[in-house]
Amino acid sequence: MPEKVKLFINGTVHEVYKGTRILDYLLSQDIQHPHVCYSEILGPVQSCDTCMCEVNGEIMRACSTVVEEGMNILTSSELAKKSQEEAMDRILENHLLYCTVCDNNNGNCRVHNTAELMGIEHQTRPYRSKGYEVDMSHPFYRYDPEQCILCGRCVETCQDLQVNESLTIDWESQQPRVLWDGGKSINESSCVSCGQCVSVCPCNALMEKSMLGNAGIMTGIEDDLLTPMIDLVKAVEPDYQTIFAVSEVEAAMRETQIKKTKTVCTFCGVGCSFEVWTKDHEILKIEPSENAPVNSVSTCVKGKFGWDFVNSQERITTPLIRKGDVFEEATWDEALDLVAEKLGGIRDQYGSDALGFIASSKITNEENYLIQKLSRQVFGTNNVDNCSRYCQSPASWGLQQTGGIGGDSGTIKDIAGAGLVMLVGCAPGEGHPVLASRIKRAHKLHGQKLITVDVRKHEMAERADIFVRPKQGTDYVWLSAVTKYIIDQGWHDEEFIQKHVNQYDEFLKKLAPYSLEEAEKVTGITKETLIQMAKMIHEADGTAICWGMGVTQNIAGSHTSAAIANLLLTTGNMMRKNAGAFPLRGHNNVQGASDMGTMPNIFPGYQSVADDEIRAKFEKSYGVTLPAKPGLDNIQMLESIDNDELKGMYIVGEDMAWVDADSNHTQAMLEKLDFLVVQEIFLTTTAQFADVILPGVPSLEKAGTFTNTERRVQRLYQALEPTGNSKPDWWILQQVAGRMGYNWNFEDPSEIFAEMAGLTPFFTHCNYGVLEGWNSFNWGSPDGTDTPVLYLNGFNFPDKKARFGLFDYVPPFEFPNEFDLSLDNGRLLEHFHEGNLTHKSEGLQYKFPKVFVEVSPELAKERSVKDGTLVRLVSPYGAVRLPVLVTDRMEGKSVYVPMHSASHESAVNLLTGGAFDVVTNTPAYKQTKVRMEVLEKEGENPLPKFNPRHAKRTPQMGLEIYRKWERGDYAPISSVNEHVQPGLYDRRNA
Amino acid sequence: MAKPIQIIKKVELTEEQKKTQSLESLLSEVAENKDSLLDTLELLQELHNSGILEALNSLVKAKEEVAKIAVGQMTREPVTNLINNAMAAGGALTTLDPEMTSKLMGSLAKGFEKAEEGLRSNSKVGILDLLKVLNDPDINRAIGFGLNLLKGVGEGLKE
Repeated sequence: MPEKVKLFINGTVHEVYKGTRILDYLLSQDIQHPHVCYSEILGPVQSCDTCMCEVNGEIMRACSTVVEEGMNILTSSELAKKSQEEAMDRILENHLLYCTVCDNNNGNCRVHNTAELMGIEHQTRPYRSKGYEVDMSHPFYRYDPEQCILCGRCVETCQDLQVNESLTIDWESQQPRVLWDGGKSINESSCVSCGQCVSVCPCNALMEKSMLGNAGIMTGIEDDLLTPMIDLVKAVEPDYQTIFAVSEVEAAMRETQIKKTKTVCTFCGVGCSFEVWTKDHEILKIEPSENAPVNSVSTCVKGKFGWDFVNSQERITTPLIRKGDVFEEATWDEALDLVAEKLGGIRDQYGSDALGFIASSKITNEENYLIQKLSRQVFGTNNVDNCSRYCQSPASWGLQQTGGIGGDSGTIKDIAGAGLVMLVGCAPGEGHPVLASRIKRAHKLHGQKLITVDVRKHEMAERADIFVRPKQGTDYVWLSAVTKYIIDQGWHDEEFIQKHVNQYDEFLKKLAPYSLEEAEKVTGITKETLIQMAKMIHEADGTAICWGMGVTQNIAGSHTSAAIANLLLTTGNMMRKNAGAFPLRGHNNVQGASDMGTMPNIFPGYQSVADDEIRAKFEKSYGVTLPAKPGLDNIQMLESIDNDELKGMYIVGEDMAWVDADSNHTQAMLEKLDFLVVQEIFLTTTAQFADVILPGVPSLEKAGTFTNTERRVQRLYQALEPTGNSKPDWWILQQVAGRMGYNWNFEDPSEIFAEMAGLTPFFTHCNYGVLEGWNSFNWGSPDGTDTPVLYLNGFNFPDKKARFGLFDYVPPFEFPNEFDLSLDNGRLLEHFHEGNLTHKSEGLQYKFPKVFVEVSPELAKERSVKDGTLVRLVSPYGAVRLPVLVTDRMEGKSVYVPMHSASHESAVNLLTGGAFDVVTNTPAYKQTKVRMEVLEKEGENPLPKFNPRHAKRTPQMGLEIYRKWERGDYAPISSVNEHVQPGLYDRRNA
Repeated sequence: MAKPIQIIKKVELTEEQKKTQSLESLLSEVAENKDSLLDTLELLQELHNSGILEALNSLVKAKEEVAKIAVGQMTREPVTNLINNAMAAGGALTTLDPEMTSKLMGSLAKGFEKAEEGLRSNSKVGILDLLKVLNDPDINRAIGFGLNLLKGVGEGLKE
C-alpha cells in the first residue's frame, strides 16, 4: 500500500495517498471543482486554467499539483475563485453561449456545465471572432474555430492517446486554432477519422455531422432565422445563469427525444463499448465514455461512424422463400414451417449428420449457444462450427496445448503495460485500431519497445524499433531459433520452467536443429537481427506477443502458435501481468462463438462432446441422447456436400461464399445442397443460394452479450426496434426449435445466458446482474470467477503445470513456378471483412471506394505498371481484376489485396485455396501464389487523394502547452507554470 | 441445384389492400383510445366553432415566416429595451425583503383607513396642529420612514 499524507482541504483534515493529484482526489470525494481540459485518461493538459486552488497561499492548478504533507488547500477562497473566474472569462472570449440552439446542448457540455457550476453571470472580455471559416470538408465531422476554446484536448488525444499525430495548435500565431497536418483541410489531412477529437471536445467546436441540425429541439432552424435569434439573445444580454436555465429546459426536452443506449462495437474483436444516441430509428452519434472498460473514450472510424448499414434500404426485412428463379416474400409462419418440414425431412430420410449448422461471430453469445443447442438437441448432430475456423482456431489450439486455455493471457492493459510488444503477422493499426493506439501510446510516452514481424510494412511496422520481414510462412523457425538462443545464453527463466512447465527436456531436443544460421537460411532474417530480438525479450520487463492471421492462416498456423507460447513459457512471460500471449480476435464475438460451443467437438466452455460425464450433464439438461462423436467442421461440411452426404445447411450471419477460401468451390458446394436456410440481414452472396432466408437483426436491434479478444463478456442493450418484419436471431432460433417440437420458452436473452452459465464452469459466477451497464466479466478460471489475467493460480491442467508444445515445422505450400508472386491479403482500416456492412456507408466508401492490389516499387518497375494500371491476378483456383497501387509498404515479389470485396470481379478468396492448417483445417489463405497480367496500362489511382494514406503526419509530444505560456501576451494565472507531459501520469498497468 | 438468386419479388399490395390494412390498424387504435379520442373531438369542435382552429392552422402553415417576423420585431431596440427593462424591474423586485414589503403594504392600508376617517370629520389642520402631531409617535415613525426612503433613492440615483 502506498503511503498517505495528511493535508487540509477547506479546513478539514484529509488523508490522501502520496502521488495523488489534487483534482483526482477532489473528484474521487465528489467535491465539485471546476475543470474543463482535464480528463482522467488524458491527464493534466493544463490549458484551461479553471481548476485553480489556493495552495499554501499560492495559486496552483488542481489538475497537475501533487498532494504533499501538511498542504493547506482552499478550493473556493476569494483568491481561488477570482483565478477560476479569470480563466473562464478567457475561455468565453472564444466561445459564444448560444446553448439553447446548439446541437451540443445535451446535458454533457463541459464548457456549459463548468460555467454554470462556477455561477458565472457576465464576462468582462466580450466574445470576439478569430476570423476563420468553419471546416466542413470531412465526411464525418466538422471544426468551427469560432467556437473553439483552445483547450487542446483534441490535440492531446490525437497526438498521445490515439497517436495518429494529425492535430496541432499553432500557439505562435496571432489567433491560434487547431490545425490538421499543419494547415490542410481536414479531409485532405492524415486524419484517420477515429472521431476521438470530437468525442473529447468539451464544447461544440468539433461536432459529428450527423448531429448538426438534428439533436436539438430548435437546432434544425435555417440560418436566416437562427442568426437573428442568436443576435436577440446577445442584444437582450440576460445574465448567463438565465441562459443556462433556459438551455437546461431545452436539454431536458431533448432527453425525451434522444435515446442513449449502451452497446458493444461489432467491427473487430477489441470490444469497444459506447453509447449510441438515437432519435426514432435514426442514429445520431456514437458517444464513448470513460467508463468503458476496454476503450474508454477511444473509437476507430468504423465504430464511431460506420453504422449506416443498420438503416440501409437493402436490409432484408421479411422472410423470403425461393420460388423458381426469384425469392418471394413470405410470412414467418410460412417460412418457419418450411424450414422445419425440410430440415426435419432430411434428418428423417438421411439421418442427423446429413445436416450442418454454421454459427456466426457477429451474433450474440446467447444466439451462438442456441445454435449449438438447435444442432445437438433438436437435430441430433455435432455438425456445428463457426468462422473461427477461418481465422483463429490455430491460435486457440496452440494455447490450449500449452497453457490449457485458448484465449488472450490478459487484457488490453497488459499489452499497454508490457515492456516489449511483439506483433507477429498482425496489423492492429488497420484491423484493431483502438488496441493499436494503446501500443502506440506506450511506445511514444512510456518507453515500451516494439518489434513488428510482417511481410507488409504497415503503420505498426513503421513505428517499430525493429521491423522484420521474414519469408512468408516461416515464423515457426525464427521463433524457435530465438527461443533456443535465449536458452543458450542462459537468459531463460529456469526457475519458472522447473516449477511450472512440463516437457522441458523433450522441448530442448525439439529445438536443437534451430540454430541462428539455420533460421537465417529459412526465414531470411539475419543472425544479428535474431540476436537483437532475443536481447530485447531478455531485457524487457514483460513481453506481450500479439499475433493474427499472418500466423494462423498457414499450414503450420497451429504449430507456430504453440511456438509462440513456448517462447513465452521459456522466458517466464506467462502467469503474470503485463506479458503473455494475445491472439487478436478479428470479430466482435469470434471468441464468444467458440466459447459457446458452436464447434464440432465441444459443448460451451470447451467441454468435450466425447467426455461421457460432460455429455451426461448436457443430456440431462436437454432431455435427449446426444451424439458422442465430434461432428464436421466448416471445411469438412463442404467436402461432405461434395460426397453427397451432407444435404441440408443452416447458416447464420456468415457470408461463407466469400470468406471461405476458394470461393468458386464454396459456391459450387452451396449450389449442390438440397436445402439451405440462411439467417441474414442482407441478401449476401451466400443468401442468394438459400431456399429460405430468415431476416435477423444487427446488434443495435437486440439485446445480448459479446465476448471480446480479452475473454471479456459485455452486455449490449437494444437501441432500436427491429426493422420491418425482421426478428432478433435468438427469437428465430427458438421458433425453429418450437416447430420441431422443442419448447425452449426463453422470454429474454438473460434466461439463455443463465442456462448456459449453469452448464459451463467458466461462467459459474457470471450473470446479467454482474454485467449490468458498463460492467464486464473476463472468464478464464475453472471455478468460474472473473479472471482478467490467466493462470495466476496455475495453468489449466490437472497438475496446474503448462506444457511445452512439441510440434514440428511444416514448410509452406508449394506452387507451380508460373505463379511467381506471393499474395498477402487482409483487412484495411476503413472497411470490415468482405464489406457487406461498411460498403453501405457513404462516408467510408468516399474515403475508400474500392479494393486494389498493392505492388512494390521494384515489381512495378519490372512489370511496367503504375498507380491505376488494371491487372489480372491468376492463381490455380481463380482470377480477379484489380487496379494497381504502387507502395513501399510492399517489397519485392509480394503483393497485397484487401479482402473488402463481395464481387466476382475482385474478391480475394477467388484466388486462395488448396492448403489447410495441419491440425485445425483453417485454410492457408496467406500461402497463395499468383501471376499478374497487365490489362490496361492507364487508369485512375484507386485510392482517392483525400485518403489519409497519402498525407504526412505532424507528430509532436502532445499539446505543447508551454508554447502558449511563452507567448508575450499570456498573463499567468497560476503562481507556477511547469510543463508536465500529460500522458506520463498514466502509469503502467501497476 | 440452387442457382444464386438476386431478385426479390415483393408482395405488391393492391391499392384496395393497402387501404384496408391502413383502416384496420387505424380502427384498432381508435378502439383502444376511445375516451381520449372523444374528449379530443369535443375540444376540436369548440376550437373550430370559435375560429381559433382556423387561425392556428394558418399560423402553423406560416410558422417559419411568422417566427422570422417575431424574432425580427424582438430584436428592434425598443423591444430589447422593453425586455431589458422588464428584466431589470424583475431583478429589482427580487432584492426586496418580502417581510418588509408586506409590513409596508399593511401600514399603507391602515393609513388609508385613518385618512378616510379624517376626511369624514372634515376638520381644518393649522400650523400648530402640524407641530403638535410631530410628537405623535405613529406620525413621527412615518415621517422618519419617508425621509430615509428619500435618502436611499437619492443614493441610488448617484450610482
